[in-house]
Amino acid sequence: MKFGSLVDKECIIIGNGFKSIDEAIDGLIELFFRRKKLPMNPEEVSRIVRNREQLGGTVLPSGLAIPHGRIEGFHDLLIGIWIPESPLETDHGTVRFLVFSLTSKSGTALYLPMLAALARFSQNEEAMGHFLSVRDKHEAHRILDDIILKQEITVEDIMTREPVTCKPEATVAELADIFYQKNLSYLPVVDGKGTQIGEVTIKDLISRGIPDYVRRLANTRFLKTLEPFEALLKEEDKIQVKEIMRKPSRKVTPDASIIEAATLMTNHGFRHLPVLEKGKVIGIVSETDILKKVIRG
Amino acid sequence: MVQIIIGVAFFILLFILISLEVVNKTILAILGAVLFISMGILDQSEAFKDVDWDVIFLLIGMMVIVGVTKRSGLYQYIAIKSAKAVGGDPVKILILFSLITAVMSAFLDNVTTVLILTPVMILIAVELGLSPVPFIISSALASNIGGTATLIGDPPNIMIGSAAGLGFTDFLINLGPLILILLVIHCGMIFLFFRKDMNVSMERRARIMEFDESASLSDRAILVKSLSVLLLVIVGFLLHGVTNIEPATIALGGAALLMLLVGGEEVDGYFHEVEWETIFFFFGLFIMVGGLVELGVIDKLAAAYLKLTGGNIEKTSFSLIWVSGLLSSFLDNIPYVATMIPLVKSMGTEIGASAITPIWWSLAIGSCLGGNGTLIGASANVVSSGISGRSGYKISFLEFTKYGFISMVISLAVSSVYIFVVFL
Repeated sequence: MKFGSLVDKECIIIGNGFKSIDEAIDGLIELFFRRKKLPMNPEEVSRIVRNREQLGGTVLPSGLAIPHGRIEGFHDLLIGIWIPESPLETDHGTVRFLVFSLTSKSGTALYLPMLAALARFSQNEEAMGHFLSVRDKHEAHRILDDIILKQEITVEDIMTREPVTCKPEATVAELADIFYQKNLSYLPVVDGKGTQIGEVTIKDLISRGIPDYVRRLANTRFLKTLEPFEALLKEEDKIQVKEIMRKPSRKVTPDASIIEAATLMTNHGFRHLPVLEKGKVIGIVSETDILKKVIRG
Repeated sequence: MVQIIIGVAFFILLFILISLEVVNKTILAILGAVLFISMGILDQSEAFKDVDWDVIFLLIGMMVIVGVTKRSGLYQYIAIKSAKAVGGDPVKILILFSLITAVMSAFLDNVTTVLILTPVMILIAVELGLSPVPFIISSALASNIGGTATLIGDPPNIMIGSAAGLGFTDFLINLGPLILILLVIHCGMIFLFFRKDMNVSMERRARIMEFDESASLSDRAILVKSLSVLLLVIVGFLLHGVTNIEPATIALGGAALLMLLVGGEEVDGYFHEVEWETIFFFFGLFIMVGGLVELGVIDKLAAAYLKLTGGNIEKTSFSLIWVSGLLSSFLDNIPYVATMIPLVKSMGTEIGASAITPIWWSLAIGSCLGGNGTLIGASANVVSSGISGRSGYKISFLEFTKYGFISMVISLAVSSVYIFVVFL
């Protein structure tokens, strides 16, 4: 489906001097109410959208802002677009392009595919550059027709691209630093060609710090004196990741559905899944991605 | 004739593969059984009747009961408590741990025993600044000795007990004294072997005293319930002469009672304690041995054996201790005993069923104690040295066998004298 078909040409605003996202939203809400009957008044809609804005996460790193509101008793997808004259600095990042939408409480079937398609579009610098340079709403609308919505969003749409990976020869000290600095808990281990050959989690790291025989004890409550991680810290520059990594236990393909990824996570207790294309890791999808981009998308 | 040759050839091949453990032995045993049935050596209903259900259900019942008692933390508690009781003195700990392992192995499966105790022993040895290897070797040997003492101590005994109609008390009365003698000798031996490696500073010993063993009793409700049931089951075994209730029924009853008492989780969880792999190994094995019997091979072997010993019960008994011991020291003793049981039965038809009782004891003693002969002689050896290796203390085949073989030869010699004095 073409994204353009979902957008009313009259709800595209170019320039117009809005000073903030909130102003733009209110401007677009006003437009919506002029053209369509909604089950509540503009103030209430504005309040709902602002509440959602406070949760954060509606400005993508690519410069696309996607404020939105889920409206009780409303069963449609209303889309308004604002292209500022120049990028707008906000607390959540720079906004180059804003797509404001109102949808039903549970989100219509097209809502998530739309977000996914827009996110993909905003990462394409060439297309974005062209779109942002347009100064006419008809021309803008024509470009929006080139954005194609997939009927179902897939893992590819919510995954983190070019994820941090690590090499089997890296030391455990380096691994601990990556986990610590990048705030991660899972890394795919890849060879020189980017092929996944293992995986390692913070748990594997911790586990290496506990001697095998201690791990096998029925319970360790009687052990008050043993110093954990002593040996690990002593040798962390010598132990390589390949000694503590596990064989890959999980994977999804980029075209896997969200429900497939979600069931893999819930059934096996995985918090992250590597996204593999021809054996190469092209992304990671985490439970947080599902929370942020689907449940609170 | 062709069928006999093919059947025997397959059996020997599978026996070797099982002992080498190149392919999972349960898969091999099941494949072997299916093959024997498919070849028409025995039809399916005969094959299924060859399964010794006494053995199967006794194993399953005990696995559930022991699995639950394991959760109480009791065994760990006993190990730590005893290390503290002797003030962290390493020689005393070494001997005490051997004795604890032996006693536990008499009532629990040997592998379960070493799985529980080996980690605690490594911990204590490491805290004392000693190599855990002497502790592990001593305990593995002790577990095979202790396991010989009772009906439920080692799977060969369960099989022999069921086949020969020998009960829990029979084993305890007839083999118990021998095992006590062997344990005393074992303790003396390890004292001589390892005494020189046991120098420890007072500072290190004080570390052991810091362990708070009572914290290991994590669930007192399970402790009380599981120990009561275990005790009840053992009393049930002892009262067999009075009640005539067979061990398998008692074990299953105990398992059901314990699951009822502990409750709190899906029954499924308790059945996870059953090592189904072992159970299915037995299924396959019983059917394969049944096939051999059907082929008449066992009768011929029995006759040949008796011809060699001239039908003399002393010679047969003596030789069987040593043959069983030496074979079990590098072959899996479970398939070995499974094969020998019909053979001994067949001897019984030649020289009288009551006259062969000493032969049953010889088989039990030889096949259980033979496990000490080499590192691969018994699962307990393999499992405990495996844990040791993964913790950074490798025990090589030769290192284990050096001590194990001496231990086996001495114990088989003592057993031969014992058999002669007591039974012949």
